[in-house]
Amino acid sequence: MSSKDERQARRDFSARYALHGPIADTIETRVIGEVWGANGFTTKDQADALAAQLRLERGMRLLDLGCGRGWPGLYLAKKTRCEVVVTDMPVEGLVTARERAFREEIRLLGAVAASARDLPFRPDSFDAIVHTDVLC
Amino acid sequence: MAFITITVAPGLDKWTHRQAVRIGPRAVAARREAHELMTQAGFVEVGTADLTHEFEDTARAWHREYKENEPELRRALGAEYDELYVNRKDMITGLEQKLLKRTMVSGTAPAR
Repeated sequence: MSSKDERQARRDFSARYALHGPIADTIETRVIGEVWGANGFTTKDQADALAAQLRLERGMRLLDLGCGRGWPGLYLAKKTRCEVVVTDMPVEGLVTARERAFREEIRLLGAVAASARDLPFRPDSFDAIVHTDVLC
Repeated sequence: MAFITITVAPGLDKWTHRQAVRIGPRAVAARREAHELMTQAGFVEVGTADLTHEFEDTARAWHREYKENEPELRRALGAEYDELYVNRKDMITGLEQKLLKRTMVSGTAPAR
């Protein structure tokens, strides 16, 4: 995907991440089973399956690529007590993720605006990596 | 690493593959299976789980909720509402025609 496509995706998803409020929360609860600002197709049960696959536990460092507003990375960190870095390109989503992490006392080590094709991390910085429905 | 991704269903002819790419999510066009790419990249213990059935349920749920709550969502999202509505409707069509699939893929990076 070209950087032009990435810029377009960033514009499109920025609009989606502006959706807040009781109706959005109600819909997300009905569809996903949790309220974390998700707008993809990963349900709570699937997020739990990811945690099991990754054997996430306290003290591990997780990277969530294309996190949007923090789903499922923040949820996985809250559930397993691991540390998490979330990344995506739309800054609006990252701001929301940071605010949520603060409210929930989640060990958020960073909310980084970056393309998954060009990440600013050293090798072996993370114990586990997750991504769900990126650009979907 | 573990991830969930939407891809074109395997075994489609050229024309149907093009149709699947058109109605699927914007980055769905890869011709290689994700687990093959993981193995090629050196990951071990690569496993997959098919989530297509659940994907269809969730896509239908989003579509139903967006339809039932249209006035309020349209006010909040503006033009983005129509794009999301059509996007999910297309995805349901793609699933009904067996053009798309969704998979959980996991693997372990080899020890250095």
